[in-house]
Amino acid sequence: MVVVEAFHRRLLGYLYIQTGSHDLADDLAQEVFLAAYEQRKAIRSEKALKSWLFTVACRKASRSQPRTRTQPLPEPGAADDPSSPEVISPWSGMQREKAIEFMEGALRTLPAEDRELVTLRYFGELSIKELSETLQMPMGTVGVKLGRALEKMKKHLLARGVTFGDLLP
Amino acid sequence: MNPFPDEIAGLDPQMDAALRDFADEVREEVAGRAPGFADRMRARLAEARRKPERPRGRVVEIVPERRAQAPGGRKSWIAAVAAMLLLVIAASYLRGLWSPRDPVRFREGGVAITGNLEQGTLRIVTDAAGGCVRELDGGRIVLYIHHGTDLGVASSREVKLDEGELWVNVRPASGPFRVVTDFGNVDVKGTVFGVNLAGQQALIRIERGEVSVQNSAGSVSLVPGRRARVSGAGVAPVTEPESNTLTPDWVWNLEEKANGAAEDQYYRSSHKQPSKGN
Repeated sequence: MVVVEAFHRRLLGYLYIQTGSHDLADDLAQEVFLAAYEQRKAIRSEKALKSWLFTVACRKASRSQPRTRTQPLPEPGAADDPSSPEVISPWSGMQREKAIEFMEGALRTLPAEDRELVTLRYFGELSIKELSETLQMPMGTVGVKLGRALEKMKKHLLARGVTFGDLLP
Repeated sequence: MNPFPDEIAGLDPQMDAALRDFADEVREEVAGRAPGFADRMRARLAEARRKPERPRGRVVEIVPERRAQAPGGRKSWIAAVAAMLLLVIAASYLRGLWSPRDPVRFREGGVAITGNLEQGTLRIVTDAAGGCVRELDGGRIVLYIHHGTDLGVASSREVKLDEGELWVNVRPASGPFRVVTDFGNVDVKGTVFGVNLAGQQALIRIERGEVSVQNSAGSVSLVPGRRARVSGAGVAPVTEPESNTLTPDWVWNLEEKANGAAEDQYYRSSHKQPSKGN
């Protein structure tokens, strides 16, 4: 249960962003923990456990999404429609809900691979080394890909007159 | 607090902070929408603990889920791979039994074969020790190519002899066949004949049947017992008596060797086949 307490928020957040569904995130998180229990003898340490949990979560999330890996998730709301971008300037007095909506919109425009990387990093709180283990790619590649993904998000927000600074509380 | 022990070079700190803050907010919201998650998990884990464990003594490979496969899935993969291998082996075996006869029935010494018949670029060149038996039109026409010969095969109905000596066995009712030389052409129908480019002339001998030898200056009809001589493109071919109308020995040698090679191949392949009842 210590493991559940330690990781369930991160897993739920990650799975929600990946699937877009609270119920599905809940179900998948339970499956991940059950799988971890069944394989507990093979998991050597707490560090290994973290990578293991998110590796399994990645697979379950991607299996639940029939889309191709490069296709971005649809953005909720007409404000995020690229054909009619909502430009808000000057920016002032943004509410938290609006800020989250913008950030979520930017995240959902990313290709699946980039989105997976960003959500693992920020929702799963995985280090570069853990990302490298989870996604089975070199650490240098992780850094480069993550930097590019964040640049894409930044451009998406700038096209709507928003900077990352505007989204800080 | 920065949860990451490592940092990404060049990362905008505002971007990083905004994303961390965003993730915190979402996590709180999602966790808030999943009340009692820990309790439900506790119940499910307790249920899982009650299930009997796998029997001891059995080695079970434990791998992360992305690499793990259900036992049934692994078996089906093995079965599929085995079936594919059997299919490949069966196809290779049947191909060996049913493959059409190699048009190059025999070769010896230095034989260079380039191009292909379909494109009309097939060329067969033999060196001083070479020789070759090549079939055309499914074996209805057999070319015996002597050593030191340069032969272009434009189609199954026409060859161009540039150098050396060629004997041709055209089975009756095989349709027209032509040997082209710089001195003139030889058109045949159902015959055995030879064309020898010797120096500045072409000698055409015939064992059976009838051939027409022609160039721009004229044409002659050749029958066994006579041979045709063509001295140049502008000189009409002439016929003269030929005492030796038999196919030369080198042609028979090639034929025998080709048949011997074919027999060897047959015995080799038949001994590879599994015998039944022995």
